[in-house]
Amino acid sequence: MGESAPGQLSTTARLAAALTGAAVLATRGAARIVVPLGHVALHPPLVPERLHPGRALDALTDRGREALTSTGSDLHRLVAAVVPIVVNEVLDSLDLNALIREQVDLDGIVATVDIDAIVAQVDVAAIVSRVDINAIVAQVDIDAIVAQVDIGAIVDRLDIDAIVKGIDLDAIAERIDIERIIARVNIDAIVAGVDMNAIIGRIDLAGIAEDVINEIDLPEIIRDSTGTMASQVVREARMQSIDADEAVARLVDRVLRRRRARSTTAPHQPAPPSYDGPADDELPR
Amino acid sequence: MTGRVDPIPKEARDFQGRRAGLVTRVAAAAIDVGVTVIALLLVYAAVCAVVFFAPPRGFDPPTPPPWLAVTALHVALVLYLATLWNRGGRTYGCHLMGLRVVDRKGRLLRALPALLRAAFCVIFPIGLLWIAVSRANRSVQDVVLRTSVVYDWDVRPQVRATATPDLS
Repeated sequence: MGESAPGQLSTTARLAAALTGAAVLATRGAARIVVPLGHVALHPPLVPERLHPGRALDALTDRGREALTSTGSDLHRLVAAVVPIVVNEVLDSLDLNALIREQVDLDGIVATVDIDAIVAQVDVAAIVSRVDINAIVAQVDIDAIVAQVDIGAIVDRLDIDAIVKGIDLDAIAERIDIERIIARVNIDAIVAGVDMNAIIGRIDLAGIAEDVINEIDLPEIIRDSTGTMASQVVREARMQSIDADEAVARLVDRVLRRRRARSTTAPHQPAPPSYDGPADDELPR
Repeated sequence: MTGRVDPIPKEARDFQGRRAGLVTRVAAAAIDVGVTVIALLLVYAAVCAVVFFAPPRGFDPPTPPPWLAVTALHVALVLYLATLWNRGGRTYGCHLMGLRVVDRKGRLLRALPALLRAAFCVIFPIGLLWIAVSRANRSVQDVVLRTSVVYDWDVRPQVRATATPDLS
């Protein structure tokens, strides 16, 4: 019995294979017959094309394809609606900054960046030309900024002496066109605003007059214009006698071999200030 | 006014207040002697006039003895000098030569010092020569009586000693 089983199996297999081959041959033969018949059935001759059954079959095929396609669009809409919500929830639950700091080698990334090349490609002039400086300045509240500046503290920190020492005042003065500045000054307007009476009131005119009179030797002028010959003779005699006194003193001191000059200053009692001057008969004539 | 116009010529201002030298003081003294002599001559002329008009026919001008003349001259000089030094600090000779006699504090002499100084000067006139030798242009009379004779061309009157404070 044991030897008969494999023989039965191979027989069965052979039978199956034979049947299969017969089926394939039958199918192929049927196909050779059915396909032309099917074509004639779907597209019968002498029938207008719009009435062909194949046309209806094609229409059904298109509707099936559309159905498949419509199923894909729904999937896209579903994904578009769900993904943003999911992504937002995920991002909210994550600390991306910490995550990037921990997981990303920022220094390594930055080291690979050629900053020079980037800067070289930047057209700074174009950027600057697009900046509206006037608009920026117009929005700046200069008064508010200045009000917040502590000028006193700044001035206290300045070393004025050092600054002044570093300034070449001579060079500055040489560059100043004094004549041009003076030409632009309205002297008349300045003088018109000056209170001359107040200035004159502060000036010691009497003292100035006395100094001038003493400097120009007014008594001498008066004597020359009004004095007599006798007063001139007396004055000359006095001066000559003084010269003679000096000469005698020098001679005696030289004979006595004195080195120091004489001390001839005597105690002096000034005349009373209320006295206004001598009477005419007191003057030497 | 804070000051005053100085009436002194510029060339003489530096000498004002300094003790005068020998020449100026001798000249002033000579003028004073001449003034006194002239005054005595006028007195003598007056006496002669009185004598002339009393008995004109027997007029004989008086001839005083020399001692009287010399004494009169000395007395007249002493009175003349003392009076003017006490009143204004200057005689006519001092006035012409621009001098003034002051005491040790620069004030006018009082009556007694003025009289003593006048008598000393008349009796011992040679003491004036000490000015040339003195370092301070002082005569013997100045040294003894502690006075000074200074250049002072200012004609304003000097303050009297009894009315002024001590400036030394």
